Amino acid sequence: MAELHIIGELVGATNFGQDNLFGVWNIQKGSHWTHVSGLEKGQTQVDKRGEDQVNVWAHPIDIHYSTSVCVGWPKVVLQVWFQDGYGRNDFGYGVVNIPSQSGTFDLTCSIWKPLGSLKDRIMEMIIGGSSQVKDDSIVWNGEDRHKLTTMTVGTVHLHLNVLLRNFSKFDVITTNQQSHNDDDL
Amino acid sequence: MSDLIERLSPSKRRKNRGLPTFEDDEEEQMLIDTSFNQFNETETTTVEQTQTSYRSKRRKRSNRNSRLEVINEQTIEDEGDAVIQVEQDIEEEPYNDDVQYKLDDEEDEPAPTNLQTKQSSVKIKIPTKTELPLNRCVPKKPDAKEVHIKQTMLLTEISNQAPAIDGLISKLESKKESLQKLQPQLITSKQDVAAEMCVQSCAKLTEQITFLKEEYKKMYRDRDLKAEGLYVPEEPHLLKNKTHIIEQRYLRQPNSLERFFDEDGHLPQYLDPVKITPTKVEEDYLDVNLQTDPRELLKKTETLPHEVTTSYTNRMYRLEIEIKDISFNEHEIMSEEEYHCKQLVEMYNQYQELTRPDSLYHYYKKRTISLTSEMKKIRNTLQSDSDNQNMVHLRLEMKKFRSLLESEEHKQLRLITNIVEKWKLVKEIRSKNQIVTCNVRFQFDKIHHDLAQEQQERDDRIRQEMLERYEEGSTQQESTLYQSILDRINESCRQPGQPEIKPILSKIEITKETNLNQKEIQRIQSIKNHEYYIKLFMNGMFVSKTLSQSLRNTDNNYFVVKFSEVIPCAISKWPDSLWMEIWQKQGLMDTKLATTFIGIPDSINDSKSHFQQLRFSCNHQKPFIPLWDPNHPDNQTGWFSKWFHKPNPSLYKLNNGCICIQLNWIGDVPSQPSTNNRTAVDSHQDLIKNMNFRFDHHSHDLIDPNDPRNTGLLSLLTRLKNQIPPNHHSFHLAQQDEHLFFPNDQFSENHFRLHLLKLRFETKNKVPLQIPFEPSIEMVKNYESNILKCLHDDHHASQYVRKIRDHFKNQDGDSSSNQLPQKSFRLVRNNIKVTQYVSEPPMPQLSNGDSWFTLFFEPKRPLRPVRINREQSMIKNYELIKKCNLVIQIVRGFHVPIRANDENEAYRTYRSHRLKQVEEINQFRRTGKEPTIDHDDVNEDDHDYIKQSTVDADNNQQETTNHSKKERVMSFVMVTFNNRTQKTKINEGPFPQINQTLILPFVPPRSDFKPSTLSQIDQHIYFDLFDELLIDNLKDERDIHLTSQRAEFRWLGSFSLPFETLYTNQGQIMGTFRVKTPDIRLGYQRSDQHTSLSVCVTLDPPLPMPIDDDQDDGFTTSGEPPTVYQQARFFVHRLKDHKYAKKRIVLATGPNADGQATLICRFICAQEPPKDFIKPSQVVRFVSMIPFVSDRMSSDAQDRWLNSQEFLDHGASDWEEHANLLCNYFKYFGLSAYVVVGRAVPEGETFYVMEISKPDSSSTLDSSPSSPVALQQEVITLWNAATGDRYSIDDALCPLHQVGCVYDDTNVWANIQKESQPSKMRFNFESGSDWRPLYRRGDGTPIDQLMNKNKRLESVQPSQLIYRAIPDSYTTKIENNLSAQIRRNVEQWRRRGITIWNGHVGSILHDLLKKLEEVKQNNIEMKQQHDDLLNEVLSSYVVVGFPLNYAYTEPRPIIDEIFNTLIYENNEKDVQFALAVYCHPYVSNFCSLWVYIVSLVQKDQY
Repeated sequence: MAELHIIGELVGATNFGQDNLFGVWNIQKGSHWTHVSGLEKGQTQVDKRGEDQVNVWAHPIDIHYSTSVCVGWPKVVLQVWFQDGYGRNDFGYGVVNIPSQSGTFDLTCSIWKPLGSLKDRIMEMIIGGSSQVKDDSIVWNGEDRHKLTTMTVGTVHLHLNVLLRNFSKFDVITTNQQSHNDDDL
Repeated sequence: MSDLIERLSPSKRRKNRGLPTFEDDEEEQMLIDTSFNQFNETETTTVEQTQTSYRSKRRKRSNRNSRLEVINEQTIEDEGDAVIQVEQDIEEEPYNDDVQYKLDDEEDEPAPTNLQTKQSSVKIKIPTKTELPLNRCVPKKPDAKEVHIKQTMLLTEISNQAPAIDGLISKLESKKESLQKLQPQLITSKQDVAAEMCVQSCAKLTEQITFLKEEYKKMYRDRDLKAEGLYVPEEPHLLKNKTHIIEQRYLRQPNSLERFFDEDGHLPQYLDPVKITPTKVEEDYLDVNLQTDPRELLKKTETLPHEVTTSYTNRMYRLEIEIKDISFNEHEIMSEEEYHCKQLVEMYNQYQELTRPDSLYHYYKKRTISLTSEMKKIRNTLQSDSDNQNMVHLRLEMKKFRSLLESEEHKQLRLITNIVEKWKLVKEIRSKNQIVTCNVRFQFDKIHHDLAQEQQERDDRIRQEMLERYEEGSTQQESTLYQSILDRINESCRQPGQPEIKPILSKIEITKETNLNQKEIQRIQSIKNHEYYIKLFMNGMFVSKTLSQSLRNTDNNYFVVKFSEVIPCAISKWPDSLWMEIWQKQGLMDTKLATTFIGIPDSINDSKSHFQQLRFSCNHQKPFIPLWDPNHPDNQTGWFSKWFHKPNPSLYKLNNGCICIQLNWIGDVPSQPSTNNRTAVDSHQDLIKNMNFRFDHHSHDLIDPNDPRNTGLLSLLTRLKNQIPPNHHSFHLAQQDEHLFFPNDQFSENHFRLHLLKLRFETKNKVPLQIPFEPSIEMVKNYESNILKCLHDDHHASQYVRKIRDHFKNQDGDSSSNQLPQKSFRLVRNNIKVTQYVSEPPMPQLSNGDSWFTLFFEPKRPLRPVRINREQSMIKNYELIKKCNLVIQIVRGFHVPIRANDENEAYRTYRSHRLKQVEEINQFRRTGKEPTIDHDDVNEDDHDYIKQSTVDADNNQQETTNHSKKERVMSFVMVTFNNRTQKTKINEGPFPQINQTLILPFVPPRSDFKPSTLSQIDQHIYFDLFDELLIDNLKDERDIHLTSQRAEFRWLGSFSLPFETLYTNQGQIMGTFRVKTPDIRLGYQRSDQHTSLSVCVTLDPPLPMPIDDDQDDGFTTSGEPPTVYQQARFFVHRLKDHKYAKKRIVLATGPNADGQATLICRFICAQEPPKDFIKPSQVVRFVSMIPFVSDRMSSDAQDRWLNSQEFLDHGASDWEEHANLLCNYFKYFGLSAYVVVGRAVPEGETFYVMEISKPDSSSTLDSSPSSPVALQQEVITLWNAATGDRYSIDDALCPLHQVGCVYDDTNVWANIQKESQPSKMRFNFESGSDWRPLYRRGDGTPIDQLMNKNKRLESVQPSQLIYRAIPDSYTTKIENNLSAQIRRNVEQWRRRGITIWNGHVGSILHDLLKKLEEVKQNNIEMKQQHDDLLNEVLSSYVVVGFPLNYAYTEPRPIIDEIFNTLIYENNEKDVQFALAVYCHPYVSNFCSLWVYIVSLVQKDQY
């Protein structure tokens, strides 16, 4: 069994119009990936941003997977919730792939929220509460996404260290292993 | 040595061995040059350099090879011819080199092969020995690319050195061994010289091996890659001790040296994975790196770097399918001549094929000849065993080839005869039809052979075979053997002497069209109308189709459709299937004729003309009958036979023919799916699918069920058919993914580690942090059992674990061990609260939020306090409550008794007055001034002071008004709860406006604010009303200037609120309460009005209420018939929707002692009171003397309705029992009594008895003056049965403020009036708009039916109540006991001085109490009588005290109450106390208990 370690953190969010953000994250993976240790999902605290306009979460991620197949490489699915001035909850979605090579990565994940029809948008402006995705799988599956109209709401930053083990023994070569032949920790 | 090298350069060596030589440098140079010519001219310098380096590389290699040769050749030379075997062995060795050369020359692959590395490894050895300097091959101008190439080369060398050298050493060693084995053989065969040679060479080999090993070690050790200019990635910094720790840890593993350490004994270090900038080589660097061949470099410069780096290449392979033609062997419109000609041509083609010079026939023939000669040679020199062995082989070979040859000959022979016959047939047909449609014509050449020669050849052949037979050991006779062989040969071969017939194809004129008949012309024309095209399918997907072409006849070939099209396909992997469909064009609808599957070539086909002939049969089309057949409808004569002729089905034929195609891969060939994998993937499902297909196929083609060979297949097919549903639409997506899985067997030990890691994560602290890399199964099992045990022991999880364990008991043990920790893990995680993580300081307690701020700006109005509305507690979590206060607001008092202007008062004022006068006299004496003495006062006799004082009081009106008028009463309220006391300020007058808020802390037992605990608190809030009396403490006239006063608290009355009531009333009680006053208050005016206090009590903060179940649904069973119960419930539910009644308490059923719902009417019936009670007032007294205990306080905390007998036996209960009993007694006296259900303060939900006395009825029990005199109207009186208090219906201060419903033994009436205050209500139960009855008489409801049946409801009450008499000993015991207790307590409470008990006064009081009891029962006035009795005492003492009356339960509340009266707080010096306890027995343990306690101060001391 090849193994994959994901160690890092959900650094925070920038460029959001609203304050008081918190993130809900989980990891989607193929069915043949086995979760060994570490939490696969979580929710950050609500962060009120400081002067630098960055919502800092610093939420740790430390997961250990083992796999017998390369298909279904895990990805991080994010939801960012925020509350507007009238206490109405909105949220945005985003997904980011975990890099398939070992190393340190600073990832950014753009967050979007679905836009409804014109009527919905006017309603949203007046009453609040943006349209939400009924089935979360659309976020990471992406099969029917072309039907959605979305709006960018901000960016979430992740800082991940990826460690691979035993992949080369199964002749799975990821980018920087070919040159050095060295994923065996 | 250098000579040797030169002598044995590769080309030379090859020549020596007779192998094809490779014109080394020239030819290769050409190759390189041609490729480089394409290269850009600007880079020529680079090219030159690479060329040079390439050449130098080659030179190095040749040197290396020669070095090897040196070793080998030497041995060969030394050993000489005698060691052929050895030479042969060694001969094989250089073979590798040749292959290597081939590889080198092609130089296609950048990836180093093992062989190449072997070369390089030797190269390292060479320079030191042969002084072939490495410098020579270093170019003069080092270029980047040059360096790269070199680096890659070296890198590959380095990485693969070790195994290569190991391989070399092992090879040498094996040779050495073989030599050593050879030696004894040689010795035995007496070849001493050779043996010695052998020994020598052996020694040399060992020398070489040791040398190699040493050299290798030395070389490898001393390499510094960085110094050689290689790229070495920077190693991450590791502390030395850390490295040591890691090394130690690895060393503990088995085989650690091989697995974890490199050859240097170092741990291999890799790149730092957490470094932010990735430390990989830049892309272009990498790109060049991989392209070692300059030619490749040229080609691939344009490609993206990613293609090299990513593992997934999206490359497409190209397959070209050339479709040449279709030729039909049979066609429905073929004429007989054509059909046969076609066959003839085909046969001729076959014949041509057979007689080709490179045909199999010739090959076999040659082979047999060579084999015979070989055998002959061996036979001549037959010597050793090996020759014998060879002979056996040869014989076998010979046999095989002979039979092949014969079959080939036979085939030829048969073909020729067939051709001849066919040709005869064709000629016949032609002559018959008189026309020639095919231009085929055959001529036959006869080649004559010499008979004798052929005879001889045959004889030789037979002899030869016979010889072999005998050699094999055949025992047949010579003649018979000869004959059998001859027969066989004659069968297959041409007879000797017979001419050999050779067919020659030539042409013949075909008959001109004018000579043909009409039918034939039509037929020929219709040939052209047949158009066909081909569709190509790959992997089941349509790829392309050809143009449609028509059928035509060409030279020598008939019924051919020519396509000559090339269909190129691009595919990313090996195609699963490839087939063609032949379609015929037929007007609008095209018909499919046939499907042909095509085999895919697994390599590039070089020869351009390699066409495949694929046979097909048009099974999709209807079979036809050939035109020439007499059965054909066209050939039938007469319309009858044309229509009704049924041809024999065996004559049916199908179109068939051949497709001629060619498949070619262009460029690379994709790797085929390996057969191993295929079988692995070929699962059960596939098999079934295949079987299904076969079944369908065969069902069309009709398997013969009678054929015994088919039985097995048929049974299998039927079984399968039954198993699989016909519409089996499921498919398996994941099946092809199986290719993607990693093979699992290699790292299976890791599963245990991963399993343990998982466990470690899921169960905290159960698996140690350190997990070995290769844990054993025992270890895993150990941990698992350990975890299970831990979980079992875990106190918190134990119950949960048991549940899970039970759940998994039925399942396998394996799965449970995995899932159990998971579940328990979930359990633990769910209970986490935020407060465990975040500690927040509590918010500052600003009372009431912002009102605290606005408090400053509010006008202060102490006389009109604003009540803050308290909302129902939102705090559900009682754990958050830290403390709680009782907030008691006392608003005002009513009818506070006024001090009687009695003797004590008068005396007191007199005394102070007199003392004043004495002082004045003294002063006068001292000063000599005339005092203004009021002579009347002075002259008064001391003995008559009482009379005097009264006069005095009257006289000194002006003086005393200041005091006595003001101090009619100076009342204050003392609130006691839980041994804490708070007092209000003193207010003057009988109607004090107190308006004061007292706050008492409330601490529940163990500070536990759980609702269940709170509802069990049995504490009372006592309100005691006092009058504060200021008494001059002057005893001596000399102290006249001192102001010494003492306050004396006179207890006026009290009432208590149970905390439980407050709590169940949602923490808020508000209202005016009647103060329980003693019947006699010495020194106070008696008023008819009841003293009362207006009080508001709340809890701050409000405490959470226990969750109450719905009362209606609280019954588990019903004691009534279901219909009745339904009606009662319906009645209650309907009133819930009523606009006025929805908030009121409406009952129709009550739970009896067993908890069964019972109609409340059943509790009412006339019951006889005890014998002594003959008046209603006595009965009231009796009922009120039955102790009161709330149901909530009793054991099971459930509301229960007891019947009267149960009530009496139980000895205590709450409102409903008291009310029912009183109502029953009233009924006995013939009064119209009802029980009222409603809300009152402070009781909450309560029951009163209502008595309506009609004006005409004579038997009004009421004679009290409080009832309004309204003779014309009915008089309604409410009784609180538990206390015996009576209220007029018009009394505004009546605690009952909301009437919910009223019931008696006949019916229940719910109040649906707007008003619920009794004083504002109408009590005419017949009025439908005011009262809603449970049923109406005669409305036919179940209750009405019940009533009609029995005339009245059956009561749950017993007909006769049993009363037990109380023995006297009981009462005296109580009396003694209680008085002793009170005395002891009073002595204890009085902190100073001794307590003197006046027995005489006590006995007087005891008599008084007996009188009081009588008075109480008869409800009469006795003030005068009382005074008379006490007169004696009053004359000599100042008496302060009061009688108290209780329903006796236990001493504690009585003592508490006495404590609250503060009677003992008398600090006069000579104070005495008197106590009397009187217990008046009623029946059944109920007593009226009287306590009279007074303090006595002697008047002269006063």
